[in-house]
Amino acid sequence: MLININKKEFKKACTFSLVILLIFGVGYITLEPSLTKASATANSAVNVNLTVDPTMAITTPSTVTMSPNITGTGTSTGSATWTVTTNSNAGWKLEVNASTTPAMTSGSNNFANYTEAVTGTPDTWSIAATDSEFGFGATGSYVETKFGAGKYMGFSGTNKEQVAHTGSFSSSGQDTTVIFEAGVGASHSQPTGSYTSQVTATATSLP
Amino acid sequence: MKININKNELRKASIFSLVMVLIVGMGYLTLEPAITKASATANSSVNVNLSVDPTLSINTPTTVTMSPNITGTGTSTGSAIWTVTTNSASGWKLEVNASASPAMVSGSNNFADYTEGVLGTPETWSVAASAAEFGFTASGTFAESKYTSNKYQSFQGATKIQVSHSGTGPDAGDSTTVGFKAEVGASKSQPTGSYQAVITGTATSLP
Repeated sequence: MLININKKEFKKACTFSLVILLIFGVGYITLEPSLTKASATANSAVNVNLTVDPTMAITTPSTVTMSPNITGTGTSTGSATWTVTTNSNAGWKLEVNASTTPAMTSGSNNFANYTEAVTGTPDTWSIAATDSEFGFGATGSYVETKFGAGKYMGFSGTNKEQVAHTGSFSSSGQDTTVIFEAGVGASHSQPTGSYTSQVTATATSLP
Repeated sequence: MKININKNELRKASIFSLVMVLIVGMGYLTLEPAITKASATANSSVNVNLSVDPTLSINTPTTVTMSPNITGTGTSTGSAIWTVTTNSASGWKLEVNASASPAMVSGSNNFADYTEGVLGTPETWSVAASAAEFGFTASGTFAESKYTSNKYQSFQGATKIQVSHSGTGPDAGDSTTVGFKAEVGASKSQPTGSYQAVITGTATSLP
C-alpha cells in the first residue's frame, strides 16, 4: 500500500506537534512543584522601635566690650551672638537672663534696667534725661517678632526672657544676636567705673 | 489350602505397603484441590495514596525596643526571634522584609538602609561619619552562613531576603534570631524622634 504524504503538510504537522510539546513541557516544569507538592506559608510582623534623643549645643561668646565708653552722657552698645546647634526635630528656643538686678553694676553703682512702657514689650530705646539704663534687643532670623528693629527691653534678674526660637530641624547651627544698650540721660550724673553685666543665654530643644 | 508366609517377608511387605500408602496419601492431600476441582486465580493490586500536606506556623515576636536611645551619635541594637514549626519533611525557609523603604522612619525623617559594599552580601558593620543607617543580621543554627560573625546587610523594602532555612523536618520549633542595628555617624545630625521599622518574617515549607 502506498501512502502519499505531502511534504509541506508533514513539516507543518511536525512543527505544530513540537510547539504543543514545548508548551506542555514548559507548563509542566513551571507548575509541577505546586501541582504535585503543596507548600505552606506563614508570616508575622514585628515593630522595631528606635528613639533618637535630642542633643543641644550653644556657643560661648567672647566678652562684650560696649562702645563707646560713656563720657558724661550718651549711649553705648555692644552685642553677643549665640549659635544653637541641635538635632531637635521640633526646633529650639533661646532665653536670656541677667545674674543680678539690676543687671549692669559696678560695686554699689549701677545702670537701672531699661524701663519699657509696657513691661515685657520691647520698645524703641528711650530713657529719661534723669536716668541711666541698660537693656537689650535681639536680631537674627529666629528672633521673636516683638524684637523689631531697634526695640529694647530690660532684664528682669534671673527670670528668663525668650528672644528666639525655631520650629523645625536644622542640621547646622543657627545664630541669634543679642544687642545691649546703655544710656546716661542728659541730666544724669553716672559714677565712673567699670560696669559689668553677666548675661546668660539658655537654649532648649522643643519637644 | 495352607499359605506359607515367611515372617520377615510379611514385615517387609507391611512396611512397604505403609510407605506407599503414606506417599499416595500425602500426594493426594497436596494435589487434591487441583485434581478434584478446577479453579481459577487472579489478583490485582491497588495503590492507596495519601497526601500529608505541609502545615507551618510562625510566632509573632514582641515589639523590639532598640537600646540604647541614640543621643547625638552612636549605635543602637535590638533583636527579634522567629520560631518556625512545620511538618515539612524537606524543611523550611525564613525570609524577612521591611514595610517601607527605607525601613526605619519617623515621619519624613529616616535612617537610610544599610549600605553594604556589595548589595546583598552582608559585611562587618561600618557607617560613614556623615550617615545614619539601619540594617540587620541573622544568627542561630539555621541562619544562612553569609551572616556569620555579625555580618549586616540592608533591607530592600518589600523584597524578601532569605535569612535561614532547614533542609530536614518535621521541625518542632526552629528559631532564628534577626538582629537589628542603627547608627548615627560622628558628624551626622539626626533629627530627634521615635523611629519605627515594621519587619515581616515569612516562613515557607520547602517542597
